[in-house]
Amino acid sequence: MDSRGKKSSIFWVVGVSLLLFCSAMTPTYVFDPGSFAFVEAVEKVAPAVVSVEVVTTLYQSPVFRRSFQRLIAQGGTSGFIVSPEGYAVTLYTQVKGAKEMQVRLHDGRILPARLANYDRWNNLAIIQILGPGPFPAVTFGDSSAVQAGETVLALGYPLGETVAASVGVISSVRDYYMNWDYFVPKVIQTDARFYLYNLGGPLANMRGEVLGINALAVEQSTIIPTELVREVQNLNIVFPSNDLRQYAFDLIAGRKIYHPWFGVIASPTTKLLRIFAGMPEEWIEKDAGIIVDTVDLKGPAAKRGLRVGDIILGAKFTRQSPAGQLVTEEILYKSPRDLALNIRQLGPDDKLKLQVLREAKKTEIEVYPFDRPDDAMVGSI
Amino acid sequence: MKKLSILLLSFMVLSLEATEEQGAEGIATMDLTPVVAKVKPAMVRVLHRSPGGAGGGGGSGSIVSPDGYIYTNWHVVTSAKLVDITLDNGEVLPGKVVGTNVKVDFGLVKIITPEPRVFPYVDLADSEKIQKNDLVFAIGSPGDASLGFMIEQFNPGFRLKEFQLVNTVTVGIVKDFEYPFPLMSAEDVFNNPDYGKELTWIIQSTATINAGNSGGATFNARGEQIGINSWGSSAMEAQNLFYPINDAKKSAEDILKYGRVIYPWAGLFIFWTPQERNPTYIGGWPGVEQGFNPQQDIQRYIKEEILRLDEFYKGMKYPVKIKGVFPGSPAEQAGLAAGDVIYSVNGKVYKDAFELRKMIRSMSVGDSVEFFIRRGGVFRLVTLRIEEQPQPPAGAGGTV
Repeated sequence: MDSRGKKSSIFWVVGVSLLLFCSAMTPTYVFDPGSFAFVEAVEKVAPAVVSVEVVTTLYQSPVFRRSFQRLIAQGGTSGFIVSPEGYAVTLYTQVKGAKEMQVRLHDGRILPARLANYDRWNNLAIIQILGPGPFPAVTFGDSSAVQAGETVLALGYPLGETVAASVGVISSVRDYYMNWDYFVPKVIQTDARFYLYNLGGPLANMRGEVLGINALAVEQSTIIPTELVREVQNLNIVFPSNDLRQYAFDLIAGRKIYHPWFGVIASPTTKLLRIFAGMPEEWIEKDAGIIVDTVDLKGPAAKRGLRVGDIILGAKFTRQSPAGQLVTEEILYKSPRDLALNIRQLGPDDKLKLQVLREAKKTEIEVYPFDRPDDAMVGSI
Repeated sequence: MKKLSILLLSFMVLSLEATEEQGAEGIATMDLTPVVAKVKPAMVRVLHRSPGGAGGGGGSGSIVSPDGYIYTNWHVVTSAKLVDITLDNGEVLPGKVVGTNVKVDFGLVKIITPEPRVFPYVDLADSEKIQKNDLVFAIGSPGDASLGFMIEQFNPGFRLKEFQLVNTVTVGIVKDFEYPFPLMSAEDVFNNPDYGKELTWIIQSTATINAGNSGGATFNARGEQIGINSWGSSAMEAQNLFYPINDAKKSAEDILKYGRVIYPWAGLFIFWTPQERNPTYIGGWPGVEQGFNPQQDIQRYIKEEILRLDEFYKGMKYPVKIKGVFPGSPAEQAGLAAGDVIYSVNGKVYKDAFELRKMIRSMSVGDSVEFFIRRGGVFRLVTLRIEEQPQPPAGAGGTV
């Protein structure tokens, strides 16, 4: 009895002193009040974030294909799982031309993967993880409801081995962004830091909902060539979740994304130029007009007869309303982005009646959009 | 023993629960959306073109009064008379440059409207109350419309020729209070020797500032403006600097009252060197003191000068050594010279160069002031009359 009592008292003393010691060692870490929300949000999103490791062939001898005369490169990026069957979304430019691809999951598993589908113009790629499921998928948030100042987390695998999160706020919601030579409206800008190989990861809010895919970090400034203002920092562009969700599930289903395209490059005009071009009074009053710089000869605009030097005032735009009637609207183009936004709204059967000034005469040119081909002229809309 | 340990254990559990309960408060302070939504309508873009049509510049600004006065940077408006003001809702209005104060990189602009109009405006805080680790956020419009766009290298065929300028929010904390050292190189950039030479704090924060953010505002967590964004550098990551709003307030008041900024002035060059601020600082500040060996001389400096008078001048950290006197200034007329050490002003002991500057700036023109100085081993009293600091381009910036 004695020895048992002694043992239990020793146990208590040792146990309590150990507990006291532990609590003295880590008080601020365990009970840091500010970090609770961040930890919870990261815990919700992190299981679905994956590291995508790719091997691409840089050079292979065209004659001796089986020889070792080839250069390979290893690269990596981040992505995240959007469906429990194992489909993950990442950036197309990061996995383009991959010969072999493998995915590192949050639980440490390394599984092979394949490129299932991609959308070059929105720079999105769907990769299928080849392994036993189900996989943890992210929850999408509503990107149209975000406000400037909201706290967000950017997640990814900056060094390929562990998930890392960086904190920032939503800086602004931009009306548009010209990205990968393609016009993307309503993108999110954030100051949460993007690191090397972090691109392709999700941007999450504090509820653990994904607001978009980390798409691009603006890095170079050509503004003032001084020592102090040399580069751009933390001006990061996120492709919004509402578009991403729609495109991702279309791509998973094997569909191709339709990108209406005219094949036109245009610039804004000044009032003086419009007067010199002989624009009639009633058009000058409208204070609009863009001038065609270049046309892609494969494009519908060139085939319908639009030429370099034409000034496009606006368009009569016919489309089917949800109720099924044909609705005609008149739109004025003050800058090329108005045209780009307008073309983006078009379905395959819609048409635009462009109001064109050519050689000081008013004409109308009716244009049907084509699906944007892979060899579309760089920067054309 | 057993009882005691159980008691201890229960006490520990209780104390743990108590700390857990405190946690809920910290999270709520992170939500900045209502504060941002409140101040964002008052943020504007300031753009101007040079008379020839080529070039020009731009930045950001904040409306500080309902009748449309805007605080921005001197280096945003420079010599322009008229600027274009773009409001947050996209409306473009003409603006008149009312005045500038190049010494603290400040510009005052008034929106011109045919009829009086009420604009949304921001509240101004007292920048004396800023502390390290305060949560701050900056708003401005990075990018530059007159010179095109930032993303050329990513998009070689980028033909829309514009980078959309919108009000963007970045968040961070106050890191440090700096002497205005980066502005030494700005002297060459803007070709104005007075640029940024007023001896005031320039405050460093981690809220990112890019080109085009200049003139924008830094706010505290309550949404009151505490500073005007001036410099950002990604070469030194998170080195983002803003001027305290109190300097802007003083400049704006003087510009509206007298048409220029009046600084009461003795003509002393007492710029606080990095060595004085931190004796362990190694690395020179060229041109300040020739043949200065920081490690040895500072030890001697502390031993001989500070510790000897430590008993007498208890509150004083470093008595200021005059680096030079401005030619023709009251200080030169009174016989002050480089090397003199100032111990008190009007019988009052000060803490450091910043407090000495504040004492002189709080006097008015025509006041007589008594300096208690030491030259070599001799103490003496010098009396002089405060004058107005000469305006640029006289080159009196940097003197107090």
